[in-house]
Amino acid sequence: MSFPRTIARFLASQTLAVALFVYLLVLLYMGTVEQAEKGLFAAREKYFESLYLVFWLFGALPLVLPGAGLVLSLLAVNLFAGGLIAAPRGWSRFGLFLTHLGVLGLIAGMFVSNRLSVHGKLTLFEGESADYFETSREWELIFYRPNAIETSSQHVIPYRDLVKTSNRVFEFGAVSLPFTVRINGYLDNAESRPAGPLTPEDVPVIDGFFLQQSPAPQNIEDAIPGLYLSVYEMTGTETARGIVWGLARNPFQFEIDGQVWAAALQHKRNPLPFLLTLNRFEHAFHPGTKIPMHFISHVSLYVNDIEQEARIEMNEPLRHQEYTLYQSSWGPPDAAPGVRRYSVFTVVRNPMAYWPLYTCCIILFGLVLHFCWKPAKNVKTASGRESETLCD
Amino acid sequence: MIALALAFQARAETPPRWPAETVRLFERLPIQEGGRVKPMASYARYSLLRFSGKTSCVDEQGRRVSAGEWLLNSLLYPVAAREYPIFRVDNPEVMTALGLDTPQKRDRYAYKRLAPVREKLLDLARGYSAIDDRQRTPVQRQLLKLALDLLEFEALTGALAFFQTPISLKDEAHLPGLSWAAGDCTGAQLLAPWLSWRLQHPQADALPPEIALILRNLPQQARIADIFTIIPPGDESPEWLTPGTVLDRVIASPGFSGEAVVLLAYLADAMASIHDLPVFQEKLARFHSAVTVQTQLRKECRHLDLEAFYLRVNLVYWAQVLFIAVFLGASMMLLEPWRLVAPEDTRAAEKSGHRADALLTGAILTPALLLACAIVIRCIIRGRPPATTLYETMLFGALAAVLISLGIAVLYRQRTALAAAAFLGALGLFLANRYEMSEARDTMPALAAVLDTNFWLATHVTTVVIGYGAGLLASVMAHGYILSKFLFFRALRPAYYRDLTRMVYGAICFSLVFTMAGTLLGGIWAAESWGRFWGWDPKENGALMIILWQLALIHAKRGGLAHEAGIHLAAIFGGVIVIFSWLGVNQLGVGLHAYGFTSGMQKTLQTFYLIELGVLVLGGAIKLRDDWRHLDAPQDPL
Repeated sequence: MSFPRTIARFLASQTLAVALFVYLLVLLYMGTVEQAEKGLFAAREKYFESLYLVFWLFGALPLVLPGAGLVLSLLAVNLFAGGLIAAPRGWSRFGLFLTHLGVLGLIAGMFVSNRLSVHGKLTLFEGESADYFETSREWELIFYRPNAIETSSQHVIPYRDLVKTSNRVFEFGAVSLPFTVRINGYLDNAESRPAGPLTPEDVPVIDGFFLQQSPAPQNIEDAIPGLYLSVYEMTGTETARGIVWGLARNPFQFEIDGQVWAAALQHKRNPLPFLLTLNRFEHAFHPGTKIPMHFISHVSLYVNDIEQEARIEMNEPLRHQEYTLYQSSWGPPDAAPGVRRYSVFTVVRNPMAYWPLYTCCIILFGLVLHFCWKPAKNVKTASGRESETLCD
Repeated sequence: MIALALAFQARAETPPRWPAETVRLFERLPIQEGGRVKPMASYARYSLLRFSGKTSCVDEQGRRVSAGEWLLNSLLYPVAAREYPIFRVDNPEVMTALGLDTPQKRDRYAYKRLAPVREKLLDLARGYSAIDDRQRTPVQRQLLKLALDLLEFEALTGALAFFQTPISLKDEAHLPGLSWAAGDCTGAQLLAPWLSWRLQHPQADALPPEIALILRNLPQQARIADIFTIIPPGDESPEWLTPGTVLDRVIASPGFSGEAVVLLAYLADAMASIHDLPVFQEKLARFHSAVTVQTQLRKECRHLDLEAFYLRVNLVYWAQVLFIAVFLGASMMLLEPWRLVAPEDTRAAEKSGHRADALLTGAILTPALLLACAIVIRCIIRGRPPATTLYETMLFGALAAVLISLGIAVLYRQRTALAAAAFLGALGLFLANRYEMSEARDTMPALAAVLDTNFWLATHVTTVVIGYGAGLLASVMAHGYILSKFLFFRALRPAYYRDLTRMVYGAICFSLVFTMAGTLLGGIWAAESWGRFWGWDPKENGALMIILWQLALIHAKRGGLAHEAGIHLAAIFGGVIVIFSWLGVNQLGVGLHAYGFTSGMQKTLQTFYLIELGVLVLGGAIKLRDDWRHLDAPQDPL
C-alpha cells in the first residue's frame, strides 16, 4: 500500500477517532479541574483554544502536547475522511452519515464563528444612550483634547499595537497629532500604587506613583492594564512623562503648543448601527432573599431617528440586524431606592448565530434515525428468541 | 396604681401531647421563607435537619417527635425545647474547644447544655468568620456552624415568645367596652382582646398608660426574631411580616388596620388559649383559614396542603426502602433457587423463572410508581418540569434509569436488568437523600431569573438527565458482569454474558443519544439566553466528557478495539464520568451552573471513586485471566 494511501486510511480510521476522543477527554478533565484554581480564561486558553500546550516535567523538561484546537482540527479531518468518505453506504447507515455530517458542520461552524463573531459589553445608566459596545478583553489608548468642543476627534492606539509594547519601547505618531508618544512598557494587569521605601528600585516612579504588575485574574475581563508614557514634541523634545492606568479617575494630561491633551485607557469600542437608550431598569429579588426573580431593561432603539421601544430581559434578548443584546447584569448591587442604576448588556454580532441550531437538528435527526433502526431490528430478534436461563 | 411585672421570660412548662390534628394543622400553616410561600412542615423539616441532621428528634422525656411537633413546641414552649438534643456535633474537638467534656465522638446536644458556653462559642465564631471558608479547619467550620445554629434557634424560639410573656396586672384597666382584670396573664391574653377591640375602633388611639407601656415593650422581644414571616401584608408588598412587626405597626400607627391586623388578632387569640387544646385547635384553624385565603388571593401558593402531605408521607423514602427490598429479592432470584428443588426439570425451572420475572417486574413497578407520584406532586406544587434542581435531577434520573432498565429487561428477558433497575432506584434515591441531608435546605427553592424558563428546563435538563440515568444503568449492569465473572466464572452460559454485553452496549447508545441531545439543547439555550453556544463551563465540559467517552467506546467496538470485557470495563469507567459530571463538578465551585453547587457530598463521591477504581482493577484482572485461558474470544459479541 502506498504511503499516501496508508496516511489516508489512518486519518479515516476508527483507531484515530478513539485516540482523539480519549485525548480530548483528558484535556477536558484537566482544563475543567484547573478552572477552579486558575479561572476559566486561563484554563480555556491553555487547554481548549490552544494548538499545543507545554508541561514542564520536574520544572525543567518541556513536554509539548497537542492542544484542543489541534485535536479538534484532526477530528474534523477524521470525521470527514472516516465518517463521510470512507464509511460504508446504505440506507441503514444514513442516520450515521447525517450525524457525522452534523458534527463536522458544528465543529466547522464553531471555527468560523470564532473568527467572525464579535462579543462585547454595553453598560448604560438609566437615561444614557450609546451607539457602540465595548470589547471587555481589549483596551485601547486614546488621546483627546478635554477642553475641545468637538468630542469626536479622538486618536486611538488599538489594542493589537498596545500588547506589542509589553516590556519594550513603542513609538507612535499620527499626521493629525502635534506630538509623538513613546510607550515604555504595557502591563496587562496592573495596579497604580504610591511609591514608598519598599518600592523596587528598577521600577520607574512618576509623580510619586508606579505601576505594579498584578497576577492574572480568574476572569480576564477583570484585568486592568496600565502603561508608562512619554510625550515628545515634533522637534523630538520630551515634554511630558506619565502613567496611564485603566482605573484612573482622571486622564493623564499634558500640554502641547498651548493646548491641553489627555491620554486614557478605555475598553475597545465597536460601533453599533443604531442608538440604544436605557429608559428604565427594573429588578426584583424573591422576597426575603438575594435570588434574582427578574431583571428587565426598558430601552429605546433609534434607527434613522425612528424610535422603537423594546425590553431586554433574561432569556428574552433583543435582536436587531446581526446584533443581539442580552441582559447580563446590573448595578450598583445594593442601590438604595432612588439611586440611579445601570444595566449591563452582552452584545454579540454573529452572522452564524443560528448555525449550531441547524447542525444540532441534523445531528439529533441522524442519531434518532440510526438508533431507532437498530433497536427495531433487535426487538424482532429478541421476540423470536427463547428465554435464556443463566446456567447450563 | 397598676404595678407591672414585666419579666420577659417564657414559662417553663412541659408541652402537652399534641393531638395529631393539631400538628397537621400547624404543619399546613403558610410561611414565607427562602423567597417563596411554603407550608410550616417544610420550614420545620429543614430547620431541624440543619440543626440535627435528622427530620425528627426526641423530647425531654425521650419520646420521638416529628419536625412539625418540634417546631410547635419550640415556638410555644421554648424553655422545654431547650432540652431537646438537636445540635449535632460530629467532632469531639469542638466540645473540647468550648471547654465541655464529652464521652461521645459524635453526638447531639441540647441548647441547655451549650448555653453556659454561648459567649465563648460566639467569640470563637466571630474570629473564624473572618477566615476564608477554604482556609478554615473542619473544627473551625463546625464551631461556626454551631454558633449560627444556636443563634437561629434563639431567634426561632423567640419568634412568638412575646405572646407567652408573663404579665402581672395589679389593678384593673379600662377602655370603652374593654377591660383588663387585675391578676396574672400572658402577653397573648393581654393582646387578644385589645386587638379585637382595635379592629372595631381603628381610629382610637387612647390606651391606659400602663397597658401602652406593656404593649410598646412587647414587640421588642419579637424584633430579635425577624425570621418567622407568617403574616401576609395587607398591601401589594411582596414581603410577608412577622407577628412582631405587625404588632409594632399597630402600636406605632393608630390608623394601621387591615388584614394583617386581623390575622395578628386571630393568632393572639389562639396563643391566649394554648392550655385548652380543643379551643386552641379551633382558633388555630381560624387563623389557618384566614391566612390561607390571603395566600390564595395573593396567588402566592396554591398547593400548601399538597406540599405538607408530600412531606408527611415521604414517598421518596418509602420508594427507596422498597427498591432496596426488591434488589435483595432480585439478587436472590438471580441464583435461581427453584433449581435446587428439581434440578433436572428444565421446563419447571423455566416456568418458575417466568413467574419470578413477572413478580420482580411487578415489585419494581411499585416503588417506581411511588417515585413517579413524588415527582408528579413536585411538578404540581412548583408548576415546573420534573428536574429543575440538583436534587430533582437525582429523583428524575433514578426514575429514568429504572424505566429504561425495565424496558431492557422486557426486551432481552434478562433478570439482571431487573436487579439493575432496583439497584439504580435505590442508589439514586440514596444519593438524593444524602444530598438533602447534607445540604439541609429546601429542595423546592425559588428559581433564579436565568432558570425561569419552563421550555428549556423541560427539554434540556430532562433530556440530559435521562442520558445520565442510562449511562449509570450501563455501568451497573457492567458491574453485574464483573461480579458474575468473579463469583461464578465458568458456571454461567456464554449466552448470558453475550446478552449482558448487548444490554450494556444498548444502554450506552441510548445514553449517548440523550446526553448528546441534552447537551446540544443546553448549548442552544445558552446561545439564546447568553449569546454563546459553548462556554467551557465545568458542567458543559462534564456532559461533553460523557459523550466523548461513549463515542470512544462505540468507535472502539466498531474498530475491533473493544470486545466483551472491554465494553464492560469502559461502561464502568463511563459511570464514573457520569457521576463526576453530574455531581463531581459541583464540588469545584466555579461556573455558571451555580444552582447545583454543593460541598456536602465530597466524602461520598471520593468513596465512590475509590470503589470504582477497585472494581476496574478487579475487572482488568478478570479480563487478563480470561485472556490467559483464551476464554474472552476476540470476536464481536454483538
